[in-house]
Amino acid sequence: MDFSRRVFLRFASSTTLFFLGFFALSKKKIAGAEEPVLRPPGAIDEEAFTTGCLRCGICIDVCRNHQTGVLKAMTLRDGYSNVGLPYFASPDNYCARCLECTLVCPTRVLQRTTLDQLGIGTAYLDPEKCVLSNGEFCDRCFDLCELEAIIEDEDHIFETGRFSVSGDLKLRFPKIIADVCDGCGLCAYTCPAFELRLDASKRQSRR
Amino acid sequence: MEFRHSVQLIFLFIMLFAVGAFCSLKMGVIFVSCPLGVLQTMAATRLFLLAALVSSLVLIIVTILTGRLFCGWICPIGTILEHGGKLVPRTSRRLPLESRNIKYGLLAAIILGAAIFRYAVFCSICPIGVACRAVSFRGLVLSPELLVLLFLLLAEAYERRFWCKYLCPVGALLGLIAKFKIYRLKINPDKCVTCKRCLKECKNNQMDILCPELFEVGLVRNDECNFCLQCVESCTKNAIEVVSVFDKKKPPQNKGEELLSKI
Repeated sequence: MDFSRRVFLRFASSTTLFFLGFFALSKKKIAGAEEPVLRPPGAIDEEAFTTGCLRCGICIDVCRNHQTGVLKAMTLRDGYSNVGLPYFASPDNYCARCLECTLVCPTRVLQRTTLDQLGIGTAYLDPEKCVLSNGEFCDRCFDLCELEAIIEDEDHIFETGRFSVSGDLKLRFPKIIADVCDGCGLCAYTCPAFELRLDASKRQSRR
Repeated sequence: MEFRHSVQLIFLFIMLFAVGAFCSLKMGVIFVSCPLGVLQTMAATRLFLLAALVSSLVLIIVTILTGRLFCGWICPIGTILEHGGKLVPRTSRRLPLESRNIKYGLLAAIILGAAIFRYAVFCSICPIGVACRAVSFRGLVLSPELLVLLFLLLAEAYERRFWCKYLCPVGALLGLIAKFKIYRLKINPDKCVTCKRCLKECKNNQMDILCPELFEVGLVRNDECNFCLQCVESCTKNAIEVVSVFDKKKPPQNKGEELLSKI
């Protein structure tokens, strides 16, 4: 039985080359390169995030155990290099702004963030697809937004032609103030038309 | 060994259900990180991550003391393979001993790959990470990468703890540190009657490091031994001792000739 250095080096070097070839085949594909992906609160820019993330899932676990569980891990379906990266599963859930996930990250790709700096994304809505354009009444997003980032748009009014007690019933479309919105996703979560979405490309807007 | 199995199950519970996983575990002020993950991120980001490095020290200190204790007592995959492996039919095949160097090659490939391709290349499919990410108190999250665990269980049919012996890069990293470990197993040739009970125990339950070839030269590979102490327990003559390298009165050096002359 030979345990010499030569045997060790021969085995180790050949397997090194083999596995390097395997990793080269599954080259890094940045998930958010073509279509931006929503990341957890306090995430640094996409390139640095995918480089530095340890994929330990502690932010996901914290969210799942203490809060709404909006953070989820990417899987093999998103490409080999993205397995385990956390993303913000927006229309399915929303952020309760506990910011616990920003405190636990071991490599600090989720930076400590205050509520003022929080910017996960920015809500947007195509008025054509809002339920108000069908003449149905809905005020969920106005009501629920804690930051009052969604206001009634005086320039965009739907004339129903119907009358209410207070007079002519006019439906005012929601208008989202991008500077105020921090992208918690509560409006997207509650939108009955599933058309209010978070825009991931604007996630750094508040900093 | 009842004590070790209960420790394993406690750690399995902690790993799978606590906030975070072995990759990075937070319990109060204690922060534990996986040394391999931290090395990969440092190679990928080319930054010196002091906080992460300090949190990985816990495991490194344990390894300096007792070697790959992690593999035998703590690792959730080790526990799953040891107990879940009973479900698959097992044979007594064994790859040649040199094959155990494969995992060091994989370790080197991972560190180099992280530096070249700029992301944590192994963490994507690390079985420990995959298992810990999938399980929590809120239920099971199924994902395609869980197939890795199935592969490990299938490999178990070829040889016990196939993954741990030949491929696991976490074990390889700990093994490199364990070459300099303080508490070591020594076979005392004066007491040994070569009943080979320890060999059988090691082969059936553990890493199979006490293979006849090594045993005959009275050598225990420090980088492979996972310190389960099952051989110590099985020895009726108390011939296997745990000694510190700093111990003043060392037992007689196990030279191959001494043991061979007894056979």
